[in-house]
Amino acid sequence: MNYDELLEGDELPVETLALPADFVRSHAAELGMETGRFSSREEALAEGLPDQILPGVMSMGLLARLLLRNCPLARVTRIGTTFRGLVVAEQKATLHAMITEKNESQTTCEVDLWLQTESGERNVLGTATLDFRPLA
Amino acid sequence: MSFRDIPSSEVDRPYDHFTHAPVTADALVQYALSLGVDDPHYTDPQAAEAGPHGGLIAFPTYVVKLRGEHHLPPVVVAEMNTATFDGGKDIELGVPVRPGDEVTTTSRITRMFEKTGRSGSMFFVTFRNHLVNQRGEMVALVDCRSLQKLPLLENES
Repeated sequence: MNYDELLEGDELPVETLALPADFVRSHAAELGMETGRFSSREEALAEGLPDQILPGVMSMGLLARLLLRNCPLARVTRIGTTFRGLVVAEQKATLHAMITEKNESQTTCEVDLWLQTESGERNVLGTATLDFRPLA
Repeated sequence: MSFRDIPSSEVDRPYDHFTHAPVTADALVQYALSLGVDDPHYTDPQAAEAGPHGGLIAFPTYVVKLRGEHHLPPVVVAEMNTATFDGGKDIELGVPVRPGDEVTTTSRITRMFEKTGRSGSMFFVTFRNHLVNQRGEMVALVDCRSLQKLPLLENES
């Protein structure tokens, strides 16, 4: 989608994730978090957690991926997320984004973001700025 | 031992200053692929040349990987326990990271505070990684919030 195609109040298409354990482990390793709660159920249980969980920055990255899948010509120039609860591997989650404000002079959009768990909880909340100006 | 024991003198004191090896195209592609990114602007240097960003650039959250030598402030690590969690992150992105860039990261604790709610107290430590490239351009400000659920103090019980 281009800037002109987006309207305030628009929701981007919701994306459903399966979050396989291997996917979580692999991205965690890429982030330098090879061990512990992000790498396996057993290690997470040993830390007192209910299951293998996603690193917060992985949830953030998946929300950024949602934005750029729908707006591939834009850049994310700001993104902020609050991790309110655990996001568990091998459980479905959905990614959501809603355009909350357009800045015509800057050609930017403000977006609300959230990741919803299988049980309906919004465990990651955030906002982002999408900038549609081409890089010089 | 808990976050409460971190001295306030740690605030604003740089605890890390680190220049990374030059970023490679492979590293940018590998990062994007590991996150399941399928946009060739982030996974295919040739396609990226013809794309909107004038070449391959880092996926937005890649900058979190460019922390200094310390993943977390050492004084925070010393007080961590299983009740410690990542409370959130805020990233402000400047110029994009491109292959060949040499990024320097300076890290400091920016704030420490305690909040008390119905379920008890939580202590927050926020720290900032300030990333600049070899031209001194701001690449990113990455603000991270570590939180720790605290046991009640004796006079609170």
